This record gives sequence, structure tokens and C-alpha cells, in this order.
Amino acid sequence: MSKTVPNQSIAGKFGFGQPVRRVEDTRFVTGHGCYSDDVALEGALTGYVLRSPYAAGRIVTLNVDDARDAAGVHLVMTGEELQKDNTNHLKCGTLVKQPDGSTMYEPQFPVLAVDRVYHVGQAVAFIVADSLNDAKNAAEMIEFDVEESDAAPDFCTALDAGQPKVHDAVAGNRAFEWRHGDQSASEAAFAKAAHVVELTLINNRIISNPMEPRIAIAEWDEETQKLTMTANTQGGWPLKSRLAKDFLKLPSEQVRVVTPDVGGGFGTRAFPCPEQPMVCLAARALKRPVKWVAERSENMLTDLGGRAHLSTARLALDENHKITGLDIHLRADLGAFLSDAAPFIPTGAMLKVATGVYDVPALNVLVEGVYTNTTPVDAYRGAGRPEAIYLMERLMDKAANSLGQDRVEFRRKNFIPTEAMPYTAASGTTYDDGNFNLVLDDVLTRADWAGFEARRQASAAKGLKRGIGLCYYIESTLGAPNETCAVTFMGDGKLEFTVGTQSNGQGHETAFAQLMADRLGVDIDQVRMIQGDTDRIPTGGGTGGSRSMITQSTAINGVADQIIEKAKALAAEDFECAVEDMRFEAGELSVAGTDRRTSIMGLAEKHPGALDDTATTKIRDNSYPNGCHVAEVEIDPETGQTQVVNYTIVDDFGVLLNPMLVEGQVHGGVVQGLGQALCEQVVFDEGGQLVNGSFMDYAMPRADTMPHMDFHYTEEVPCTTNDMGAKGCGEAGSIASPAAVINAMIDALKADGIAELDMPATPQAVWRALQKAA
Amino acid sequence: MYEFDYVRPTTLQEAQDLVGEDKKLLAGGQTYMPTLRQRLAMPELLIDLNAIPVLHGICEADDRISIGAMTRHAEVASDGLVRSKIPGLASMAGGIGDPAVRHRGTLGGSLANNDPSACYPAAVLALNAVVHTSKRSIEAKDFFQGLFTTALDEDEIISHVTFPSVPCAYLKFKQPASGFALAGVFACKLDDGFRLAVTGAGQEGVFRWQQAEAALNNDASFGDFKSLALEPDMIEDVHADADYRSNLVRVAAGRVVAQLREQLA
Repeated sequence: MSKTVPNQSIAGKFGFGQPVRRVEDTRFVTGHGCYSDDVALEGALTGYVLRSPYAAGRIVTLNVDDARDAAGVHLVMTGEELQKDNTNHLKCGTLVKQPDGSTMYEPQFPVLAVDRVYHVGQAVAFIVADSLNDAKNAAEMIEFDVEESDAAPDFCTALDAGQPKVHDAVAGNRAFEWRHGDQSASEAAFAKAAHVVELTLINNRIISNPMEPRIAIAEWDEETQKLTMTANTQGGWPLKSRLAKDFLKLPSEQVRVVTPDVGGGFGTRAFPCPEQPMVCLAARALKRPVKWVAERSENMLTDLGGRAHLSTARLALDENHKITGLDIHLRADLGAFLSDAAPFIPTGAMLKVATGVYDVPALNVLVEGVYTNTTPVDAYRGAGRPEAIYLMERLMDKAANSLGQDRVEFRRKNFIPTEAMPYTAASGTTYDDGNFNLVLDDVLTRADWAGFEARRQASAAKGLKRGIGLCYYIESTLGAPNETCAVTFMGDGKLEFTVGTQSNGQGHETAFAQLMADRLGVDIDQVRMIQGDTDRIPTGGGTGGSRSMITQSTAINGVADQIIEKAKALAAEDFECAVEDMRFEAGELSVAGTDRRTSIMGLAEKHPGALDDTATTKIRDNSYPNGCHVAEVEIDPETGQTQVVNYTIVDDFGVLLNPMLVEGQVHGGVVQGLGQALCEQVVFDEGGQLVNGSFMDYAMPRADTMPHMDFHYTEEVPCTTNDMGAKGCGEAGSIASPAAVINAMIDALKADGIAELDMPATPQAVWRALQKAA
Repeated sequence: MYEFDYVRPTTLQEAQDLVGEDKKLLAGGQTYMPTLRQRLAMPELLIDLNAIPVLHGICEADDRISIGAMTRHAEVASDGLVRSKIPGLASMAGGIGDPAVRHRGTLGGSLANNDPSACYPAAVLALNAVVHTSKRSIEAKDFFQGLFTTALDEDEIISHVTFPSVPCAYLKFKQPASGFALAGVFACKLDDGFRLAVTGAGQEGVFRWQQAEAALNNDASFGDFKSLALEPDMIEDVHADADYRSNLVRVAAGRVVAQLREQLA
């Protein structure tokens, strides 16, 4: 790891810009973390969900009488009861408008099935018992008969004529149609184009597989009529209001959501899930705590899916190979029901960076939402932006290759020039800044792009096909622009501060403590970050969309400034001098030109509560992290096996607070992207059964097959839309790596006549492509 | 899992006296424990073989290497005797699953289960090892009887397996999720000639590739495995189609025979 230009002043080894080691890791790696499953409430009962083994059909019998009488059973909840109570609908928060101005139809997303089942794994009954074994025994006593009907599990074909209907009320499984852009300008560009390049590809459906499965624990306090939910969320505030309003029918202050340590979010943990209302309603009914923990295979079957697009893009080019138009048509799998952000991901989120880093004069986008008889789909690390960039960067390579152009020079020719910044793209997004040639030059040098031919020949001598590819990505951060930080001085030389974000493993306790300590000039161990409790922290935007750094840092910065001003005023009173004469430096307040001084912690101790403060700040706009990843692969043509042999990264995340944590985020993201590109794939059979629902069959990327990553970054292009100059880094890796590696593979195979290759490019897929080409 | 009784005998005889219908043996538990957890088995009694000393360990006797049924894959992989006398067996054991699996999983458990994608059956069949049980001795050629099926009676316990000391090699292409063989070929040369056993690929489980053996016995430098017929029907599943599996068998055979030749040279 190295950075191109060191431009930060060094504020000590725990200061801004320093690679401070993660303070939370000692706890995590020594078994002292407190994850949701570690929360053991006295008298807690265990919940278990009976799930549908059928993908589609009418419920003929659901008889829970025997189960209710079974040993150890306290409650069996069904959809019929919830329906009566009007507590059986998980609402979608992002319904989209269709071209005719109408809002898309929203089918009921039931907590528990009523009348029909729509996907394998759909919750049918919730059993609460003394033990998991009791609950499972009872579940086996439930009589559940379904008159099965044909299923439509495949998003690539579900819109085709004659496919079974997922919802009676939705014709042709088309959940919505959504358009953006200037269709006539785009059509004109294509009509006049010297060259048109078209590409159809599948962005494969994946399971995000956080290390920690989904967990929900509810505790009801009869005296205060208050419900406390403990769950592994990405921020408890939206869940709190949903539970209060839609399920418990309580004022929102009577619901508290606590998020302990979280073992991975990836977007999947950001949205309400059916089990959360189940445990809440059961805990209130039983007046006992109720805990539900997904088993691993249950988690794989029922966690929200990710990606799953069938995409076609066309590029119009003039005679000089300048882009004149881009036409995108997506079909996006939504699963059987609308998860909270599902309609937004392939539309608004995708659109943000639909034109990538290129100057595209005319854009036309058509997105069709597709219902399938499968578990719902929602955001997964990058959420819409990886899909857009993968499509665009594959298309750029295909265009260059098919027109005989150099892939690098073709990109340079079409880059948005730095002088054009801020630049408003045809997508409507205004990129505030970016210097794409600077990053590209750097990565090409570091990856020794120019020396590739010699390496290719060396591989060929071993019988291996070598290829090199790149992806120039850009992302747009998303989520609430405002965030809050409240500081409490504890009177013992320490302070606590709250955040409205939620670490899922990213290292917030380190990064934000580092910033707070830096700003107030105190040691990092004097500051403690508080997160994950909606009672203690009234509002928060949570973590997602790479928003945490840019929003929360701005709030920390803001509150630190306020505290310093208050401290100056307070110290001026103490020292009986003018506030203008007070200086603040390295945690000390001094009177200019004298030796009179006090530490900020000393001042806080002397005036309890006087320095406590809260700031809510707002960033001016999203930020636009970008960068270029270069992948180099060796393919064994006999087996189709691919090894990523070199992987070089130059990222522009603006100004970095902690480069080590950033590098870790990039590593994880790249690995998730390589997993999607090379091995991950959700497979449903024709009947809608999940074929590879365990780690014995679902191939995750593994450490021993991952490349070394040569990570670099530039800080020469600070973000202009927040005071920190930071751009956010959480999703970048997973956005960049799929196109980088697939482009490298196509480069390796193009001499064999292979111009396209879909993900996951498994050994068999590569071998088959070579067989077909031969 | 469902409730069951559990015993941990310390002698083979005790275990033998207990085993029977619905009274199941637990070796390393790498297949059976997940099966129990998923409520896919409902034994009345679980007989844990882990505390029976006689089932553990590796020794040399009468020019053969004897490996106890409860010997872990990691022990076989790292054992000096096995590494020097049956190198392909050591490297095969070192490539099973991951370290956790290798420190729990056992030779006897793998053979008794006879998973069509497991590695051990290929080694045992190619080497014509002898499976010794609480009742008798069974030659490898008679032991494997199709998918998850062996010559073992319900109340029969494997005690140890004896292997010849010969040059041998193993190569597998892994199923990327489980690490099991998509196609694995174990090759060795016994007194009566070359033997190649294939796992992971055949619909009826492990098999000897007789055409390849004949070709090598005819010409020890034979290398054109792509030209040879591969008779058993190949497994087709979410991980690989039949034609890709047969290709992998052929490629693996070529590469593993090259390794074997290096040892023989």
C-alpha cells in the first residue's frame, strides 16, 4: 500500500491520516465481541419458522392445533391471525413511478403466508417454545398442504409469454416499467452513429452470506408497554419506526432497537425482515422475551438476494469512436415480494453512475422489474452501481475490441475531462470532481500494462492463456445526507460520543474515535464511540451506500468545532481574558502570549456538562469515489481454470482518515466481486427449489484462490461536497472487480474468437466457451 | 437434531456388541454430524468410536502399511512412513476438505460412507488395499458397491486398512464449494501393472479406468488419454456436466500419470 501524494499534516500516530490499528479487533478475535446471539435474556423463549417447501401454490390446509398442544410450545402464530390484526404486511419504501405517471402496484409482502405461497422458504408459521428442539418437534406436527402450481423462478424468462404468473394481479410478472433519459435524442444518436455496439449479459444472482446469520430478539416490558428489539441491523432507526407503526401500533418512543456487534451487513441487513415483527408480536403476546436465530441453510434460503439483472446495452459511436449515445434495458429480479429498497436499486441507484466515467451525450434507460417465485432481492454491496459499472465497462471493452481500438486509449478518448468538472451527466448525476487520467496513468504504470506481452508469452510457453483487463469505476454514495454527533464529557478525562451510523465490521470504533481524538487533541483511548441504540441516539441514517465516513465525519467535525468554541469562551472566563486571546492547540487552551493554559479535559472536569454538545450536519451532495482496477489472469485451456495472478488498484477516495481501514474495505469488496465473477451463483431449479443452498454447493471465494492485491490511492482529488474531502470507500471494491477480471479473461480468450463471457466464469463455463469456439 | 442415546466405548468388542439397526457408528462425524443436525437421521443410539485406541495409528507390517480406521486425514498426510512408502496416499489425505475436516475426518468413516466424490475410495481401489473389519477382510475390488454402498454389513466395523508400499500419485479437480472431487484420479503401479481409479465422476461411484490401464500396460509412455473411451456414465449436477467431467478425468489422468512416471524413473 502506498499513496501517491502525501498531503496531510501528520497529527501524531493516532491522528488524521494515520493507519491506526482497529481498537475493536482485540474484542472480536478473542471471543469478547457481543453479537446478537450472545444476548441471553432471562426467561427467553426460542422461535422457529416453519417455511414453505413449495415455490408456488394455494394453501389447502394449515392446521397448527397439534403443534399448539406439543410439549414446550407457548405459541404458534399464523398469517391468518396477523391478517385479522392488520399486522401482516412488510411495506416497501421505494415504490417507483411508471412512465404513465402511475405508482407501481404493491403486492402484499406477508410476514406469514396467507392463502398462497410464493417462494420456497416463505414463512408459514412461527412457533415459540422452550427450546429449539421443542419448536422443531412442534413444527413437524403442523399439517401444511399446498395445491402446487407452476413456478416462475428464472428472472431471465419470467417476463416471457406463457410463463406462470407470480401474482394474479400482475400481468406478465412485470412489476414495473421505469424510464429515464431522452429517448428521442438517443434514437437520433443511434440513427446517425458510425458504429453501434451491443452487449447482453447476466449479472448473476448471489447470496451475500454475512458471517453472522439473521437474528431477531424481542423483549416486552408490560409496565412501560415498551418493546426492545435486539437485531443485527445496519442502523435501527427505520426498523424502530416500522415496528412501531406497522406491527406493534405503538408510538415510536415505545420501541427501542438495539444493535450489538454485527458480523457483516452488505446491504442485506439494512431492511426489515419478516422474523422481526414475528418475535415482537410474540414477545408482547407472551410477555416473555423471544429469540430467533437463522440457521445457516435457512439464512442462505431466505436472506435477501443480490444483483440478478438481465441487461442489454447499446453504444452509439461516431467515426472517431467518440460515444454519442447509450441505450440501456434492464430486467431486474425482485423475487416474489418487494423488499424495502428493491425497486430503487435497479432504477435510481443504478442510474446514478449509468454512464460511468464517460462523456455520454444521450442516454435512454428502460428498466423492468420482474417478479419471480424466489426469495426477495434487495441491495447488496454497491446496490445498482456495480450492475451499472459492470455493464458499462464490459461494453467499453467489447466496443474497443470489436472496433480494433486500444482499450485504454478508447477510454481516455471518452473520459469526462477534468476541466469539465463539476459535470452533470445524462443520468442527472453531477460529479463534483474527478481526474480519471491521473488515476489511469498511475495504475497502468504500477500494473506494468506496457510489459504485458512478455508475460503473456511466458504464460503461453507453459500452455496457459494470459489476459489483462481493467475496470474504471465510479460510484455515487447514497443515503441520508445528514448525521448527528453528541458528545458527553464523562468527568474522568474521557468522553463519549454518539454516531448515527452502524459498524458491521468496518472499524467505525477506530476511525471515528481517531477523528474525534484528532480534532480535540486528546488520546484515542480517551474517546469512546457509542452506536446501536435508538434510545440513546434519537436519530441516525445507519450504514449503507458508503455514506458513513462522509456524513458522520462531518458531524464529528462539526461538534468538535462547537466544543472548541465553547471551551475557548469558558476558558476565557476562567482566565479572565478576552475570548479572542484564547488559543486551542493539541488539546490545550492557552492565553496568547502567556503561559496560562488548561487542557480541554481539565476544563470539562471543572465545568461538568458545560462542554457537552450535539451537532447535526449535512453534506452538500453525494460523493463520487472512483478508481481503476487492473486484473491479470492465467487460464488453463484444458480445464478452464482461471487464476488471478496480478491485481492492481489505484483508488480515488479523496482524503483518507485511516488508509489501513480503507485498504481492508477494498480487499473485502474486491473479494466479493471476484466471488461473483468467478464462482458465486444462486441456482433455482425449474420448480423454484434452491439447488445450491449450502456452503457445500454454493461456492464462496476463498483466501487460497484470491490474488495478492497491490493497493494504492491518490489524495490529489479531494471531494468538494463535504468538509472532510472524503469520498467513501465501502462498496468500491465490489463495483470494480467483476468487470476487471471478466475483461481480463475475455482478453485471454479473444484470440480463440471469444468476445463475451458471463459471470460466474467458472472453469466449466470457460472450457465450454473454448469448446464452442474451436 | 432428534434426541438419541450416546455411548463412547473403549474397545472394539463393546462397539461391536452395540451396533445394529438404528444403532449407528460415529467416526469423525464430518458427514454424519451435519446429517443429524438437519434431522435427516433419527438414530436410537450413537456409538462414538473415537475412544477406541486400537482403531488409531499407522504401522508397517509384512511389507504393508496398516492404517487404523479412526486415523485422521491430517495424520495420514503428515506421517513419515506413509509419505515415504505411499506418497500419493499422503498427498491425497492432505488435500481432503480443509484443516478442520482433516483433523476430524477418518479413513474408516470415508470408506464406510463411500461418497461418490470422496478421495479415499480412489486410493483404496487403485492400491487394491484390504479393508479389515470386526468380522473379516475385504479386498478393495469387492468393497465398493456403488453410491454410498459398500460390502459392509450393518453391524460390521472397519478396524484398519492395509496398503502396499508402491509409487503412486493422486490429482483432483475440486468442486469449488465443498472441495470434494469433481474428478480425481489415483494412479499407481502394482506388480500386475498400472492401475487408475477415478472418483467424483462416475454415477456409480469410484471405478477403475481399465482402458487407460490397458493402454499404459501396453506402452508405459502412453499419454493420449483424450482418445480413450470412458465407460461409466458421468455424474451431472449443478457443478459440472457429464462432458466436462469426462474431460477433467482425462486431463487428471494425463497429469497424474506424469507425476507417477517421475516417481518410477
